[in-house]
Amino acid sequence: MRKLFIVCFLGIFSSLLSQENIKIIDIDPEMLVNANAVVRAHNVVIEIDDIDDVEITTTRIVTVLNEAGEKYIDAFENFDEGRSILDQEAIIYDGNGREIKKFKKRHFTSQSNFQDFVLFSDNQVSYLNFTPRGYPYTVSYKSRIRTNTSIFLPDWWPLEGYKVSVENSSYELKNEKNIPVRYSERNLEGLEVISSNSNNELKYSAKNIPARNYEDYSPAFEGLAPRVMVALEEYSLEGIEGRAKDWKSFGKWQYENLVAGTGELSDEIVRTITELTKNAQTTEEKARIIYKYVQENTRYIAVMLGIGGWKPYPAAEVDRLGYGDCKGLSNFTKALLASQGIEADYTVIYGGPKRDIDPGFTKMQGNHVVLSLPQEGKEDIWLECTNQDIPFNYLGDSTDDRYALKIRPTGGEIVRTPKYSADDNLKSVNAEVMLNETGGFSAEIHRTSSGVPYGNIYPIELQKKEVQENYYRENWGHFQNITIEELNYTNDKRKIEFTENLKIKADRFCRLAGNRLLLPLSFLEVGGMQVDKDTDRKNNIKINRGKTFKDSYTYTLPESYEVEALPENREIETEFGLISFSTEVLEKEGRVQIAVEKYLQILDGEWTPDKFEDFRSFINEIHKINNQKAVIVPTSKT
Amino acid sequence: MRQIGLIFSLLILFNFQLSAQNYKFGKVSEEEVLQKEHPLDKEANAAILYRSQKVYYDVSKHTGIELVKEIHERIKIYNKEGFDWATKEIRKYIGGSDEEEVAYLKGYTYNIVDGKLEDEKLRNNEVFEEDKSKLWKITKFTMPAVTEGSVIEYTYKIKSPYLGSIGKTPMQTTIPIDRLELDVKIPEFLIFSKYQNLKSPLNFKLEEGRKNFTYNFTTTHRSTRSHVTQSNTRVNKIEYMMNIYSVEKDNIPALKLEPHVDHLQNYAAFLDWELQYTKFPNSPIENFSQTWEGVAKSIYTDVGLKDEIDRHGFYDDEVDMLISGLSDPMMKAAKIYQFVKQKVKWNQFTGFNTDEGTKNAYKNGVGNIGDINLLLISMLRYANLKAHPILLSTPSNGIPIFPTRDGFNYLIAGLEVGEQLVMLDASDPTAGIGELPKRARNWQGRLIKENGSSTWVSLIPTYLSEHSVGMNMQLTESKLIGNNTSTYKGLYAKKFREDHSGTEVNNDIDNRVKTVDDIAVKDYKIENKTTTGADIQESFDFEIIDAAEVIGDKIFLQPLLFEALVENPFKSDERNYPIFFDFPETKSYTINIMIPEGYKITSLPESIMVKLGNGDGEFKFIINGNNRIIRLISHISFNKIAYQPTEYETLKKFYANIIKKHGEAIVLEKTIEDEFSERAESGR
Repeated sequence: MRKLFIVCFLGIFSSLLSQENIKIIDIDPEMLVNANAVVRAHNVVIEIDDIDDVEITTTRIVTVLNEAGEKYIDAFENFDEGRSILDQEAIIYDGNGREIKKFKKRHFTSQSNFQDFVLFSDNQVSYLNFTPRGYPYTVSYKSRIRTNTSIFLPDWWPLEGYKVSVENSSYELKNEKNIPVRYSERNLEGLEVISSNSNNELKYSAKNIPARNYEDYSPAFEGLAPRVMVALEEYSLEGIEGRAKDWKSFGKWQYENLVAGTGELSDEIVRTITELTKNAQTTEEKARIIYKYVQENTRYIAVMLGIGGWKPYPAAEVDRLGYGDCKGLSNFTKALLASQGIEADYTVIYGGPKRDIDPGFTKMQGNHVVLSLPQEGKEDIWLECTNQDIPFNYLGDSTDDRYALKIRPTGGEIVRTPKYSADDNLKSVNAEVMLNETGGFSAEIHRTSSGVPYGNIYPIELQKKEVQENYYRENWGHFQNITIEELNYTNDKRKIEFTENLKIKADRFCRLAGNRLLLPLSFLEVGGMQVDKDTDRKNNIKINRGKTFKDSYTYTLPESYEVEALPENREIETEFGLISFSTEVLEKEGRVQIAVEKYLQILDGEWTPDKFEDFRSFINEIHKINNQKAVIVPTSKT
Repeated sequence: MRQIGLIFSLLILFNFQLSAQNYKFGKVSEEEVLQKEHPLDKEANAAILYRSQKVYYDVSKHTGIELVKEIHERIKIYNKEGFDWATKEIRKYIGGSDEEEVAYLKGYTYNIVDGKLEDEKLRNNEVFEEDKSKLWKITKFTMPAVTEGSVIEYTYKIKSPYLGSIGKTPMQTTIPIDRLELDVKIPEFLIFSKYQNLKSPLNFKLEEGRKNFTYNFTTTHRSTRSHVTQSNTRVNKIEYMMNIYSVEKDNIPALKLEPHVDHLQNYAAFLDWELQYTKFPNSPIENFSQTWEGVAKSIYTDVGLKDEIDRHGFYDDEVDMLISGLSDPMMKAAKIYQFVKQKVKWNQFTGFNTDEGTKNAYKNGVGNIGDINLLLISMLRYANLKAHPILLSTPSNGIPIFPTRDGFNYLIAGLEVGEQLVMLDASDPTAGIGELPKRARNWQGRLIKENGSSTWVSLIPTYLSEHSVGMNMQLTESKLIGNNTSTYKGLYAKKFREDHSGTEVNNDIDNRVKTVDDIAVKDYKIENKTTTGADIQESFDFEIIDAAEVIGDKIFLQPLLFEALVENPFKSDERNYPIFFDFPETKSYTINIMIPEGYKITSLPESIMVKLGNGDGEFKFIINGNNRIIRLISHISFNKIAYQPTEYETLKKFYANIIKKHGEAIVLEKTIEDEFSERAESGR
């Protein structure tokens, strides 16, 4: 009786207290600087009851200062068969800490939860659906979930993104069964972190982390953010149990439980493949034929049910259906290669912006699968199996230059995918431009792209003619009223080189200035980098990929025009790259020509914040050079 | 004779090919799978070889009468870009008391493998049901074994307990349809009206007929009499007339995609079916809708708009306080309008009817369009103002052509003040009194008076909204300094508020002037940014390094700087759809430039004036120079907001003229250094 009373009293007391603190005026002004939201508290308690029985309790109080801060409310839970929501509630307070609305579990909205490119998944989400009347307001959210999967224990991310500050963040791992825990701290320097860790239990907390501003050309947030990575040495994935503490053993477990046994094929398909490859001279040629076969006979469709989110569809099933997701299609290709004695490794990676599978911490990571084919004494061949048009051994910017995990029968192995250098990422333009007196022109243009730019342009070849033409009209808005007279493409998939060949006409290119014409000497816009002034740069400057632009233009002046003024030749070399620009006046069949040669290379790399002004002035110089004009005038009649 | 024979055999061949087209389910031909490209539209990525939709009513003992839509589609996939057509999503409404259901789904993919026609079946475990929301479920599947050239075929039935929900029967899509058959059978108990989309240039002939129909069913009657239960089975018979409608059409072209066209589906051919009334045996006629007058009236009284408007009590005290001491109707209205806007936020759902009810919306501070604007009308009436609901259709819902309830999906308030009608929409935080958000400015709306009578009112703004810019600048050899003063009036001011309502406003002005390199903005000031309905005044100073091209002894300056119009919004060669501007507008620039000392004006762009159509628009560009002062006036106006595709070319040229003039440069030239020689030169 007495006990009950005390519990009740404590309950009331603590809720009064939190309501007091929830007022906006209680927030330290420093926490409001640059912030769209303030995380007043984020507490995660993870109780490991067993390797297949984990309960996660989340308490989260977020003050939203404006519309952009709403994404930090994070009042939702995913659920599926193996993961259920035990409790979920939210209370909304206004800026003065007065309660406006209360949401019980049944007031949360449930719906299917998967991305557009997935056909179906059994994952669902239960989220808070609240329309605010105004700002600021505070959401106090509590949830408790139970899951049979312990392989994805949440990590601790005390800082959650840009433009959000954190008053309190804590993380606690309770582990009564004493299952060995591994953890690894990242970027915690400079934070007020309190931790007390034993062999099997973790406790972390941090206070008063001010909001960070997003800065252009910064390293990726994941790489900069403070974080504690956490994993169990014994774990369960939807009922499949395992034990691993390094990539080798973890990879072996993945191979044995997720990949092995999914590679069987029908005799029929093996016969087809054997027939197709019988005249190929080398294994690479065979692999090319097989890759082509996969591209012509499958498409990307993702269906993720239960363990199917991690385990590939059996190869024979992919063969029959003609579709699969990254796992299924990679595994199918692997099986076809294996049928001809070609070894290929199922390789887990992060697709999209550059992000590594952390080589230093073993934990379930990655969101994509590709194949890598080991080559004797040479670099691996890499195959992206979800794309029907991409060249053989081409990764492009979605999987280049990052750590990935090969899952081999002998165990896991961390490898790095190939990098495209500044020289590889080449875009070169050749244009012959015939100018007319009214500022318009007709031109023959050849633009060749390789490296990463190849991957950005080649899909245009598959588009309808009208889409292709609109692409140029929309992107070359600086020409007025473009007429496209000829348009074709050369796609050299062996050299991985794509050329756009165009003949166009347009009404305006030169700027009229009385009887003079101002002729821009950059025909097509290049580079396109914008750097704003920033006297208080905090992050390093990071250029993820270098690139090279080689332009050569020949402008033929209208009849009886001559050059009145030409900009000087220039060359600038900095640690960020190089630009050179030169012109030459020629004559051809009685008409004056201006030939322009331009070379621009931007290097990849990382530089300290104090170099920011140098970087900006280099980019500005590029702009200035790109904006240079010649003045041409009608030949004065004497 | 020989020639006749040839023609004869050609005919046979032709006939043979025609008859080879078999549209029965499963009768996919080798020719169809072998076809490499669409015979009429070579660019097509896929084509619907056959689409049949049958709509009829089924009676079952268990569920009573239900609406059945039976769909059969045969689709040819020419290339990888057409693969999306192999995935199908079927929406089912589950929001009411009963749920719609998809049944009898089957599908096959046909390929030629080693010269043989082979099929692959869609299996049951490859069909998924997604719980999209509380209102919708989606049955989705993708066909197996699809490659370039595959023909897929599937059929399914949607069974619906909502008898009036035939809705739109599509007759055109973004790929060609080679053959379309529509067959709708409606018993005489249900009377539908139907209309074709008038925005589509395609014509369809709708065949109508009537047929006698008998429905036999058995009922079992059970009676218990003194411990013995007896079953009597009786055969019942209902005789009635069946109305039959059908459409057959070959070679329907694909709906053409074009950039800058919103709601492309509004231009597709379709038939829309709206339930007018029901007259079941032994039941009275239940009227749904027939005329706009009737539709409006039934929405007003039957749907319950009137009740919601009449409901008050829950807000009386607050509204009394708000308007106490005020007598001017516009002032009262302004107070109430402001109050509703602050009190209830829009939850992004449209609808002319309430969702939560005005009272709950008021209490919770959230509501849909109906909740918010009915509450507004209610309060305005409570304050003895003449406020009326105006029903309308947003662009995504299409323009209401035929009298249907579905023709409307939105509601605003119309306030009568003397002779004037002022429109209000409290769901839009950026709108002032008399300003509507773009979504509500669609053609015309139906204003309903208190007695339920109704009339059309135009929703298109007729007044010109103005944006005027003044710039004074001084050019030196090294830089340009100046100031910029802008006034935004009417819907321009509203648009400014919409565009700048985000949170990251600090460097907003920097973004707007970014087209010019190396520009620094100082002293940015803005007035009335959030005061809806008021003119916005904006001013700032700027400094630009290298604003002008200094080449040799000449300076070239494009005088409009960052204010110049540089890109033509109309880039395509042709246009198939009409063009809509947001509102009638005028934009003017007045620019004064002081040129550097020691320079003279060598040339100025020519002044011009261009008219668009019969006074639909005008562009004036007037420039004068005198000693060191250049004065430029540029004035653009569009009086009309809707343009037909035939006017596209004119409009595009009109813009091209503006861009050309805005891009022209002033040329200045260094004069000889000292005054004396200058005089000497001029005296020559």
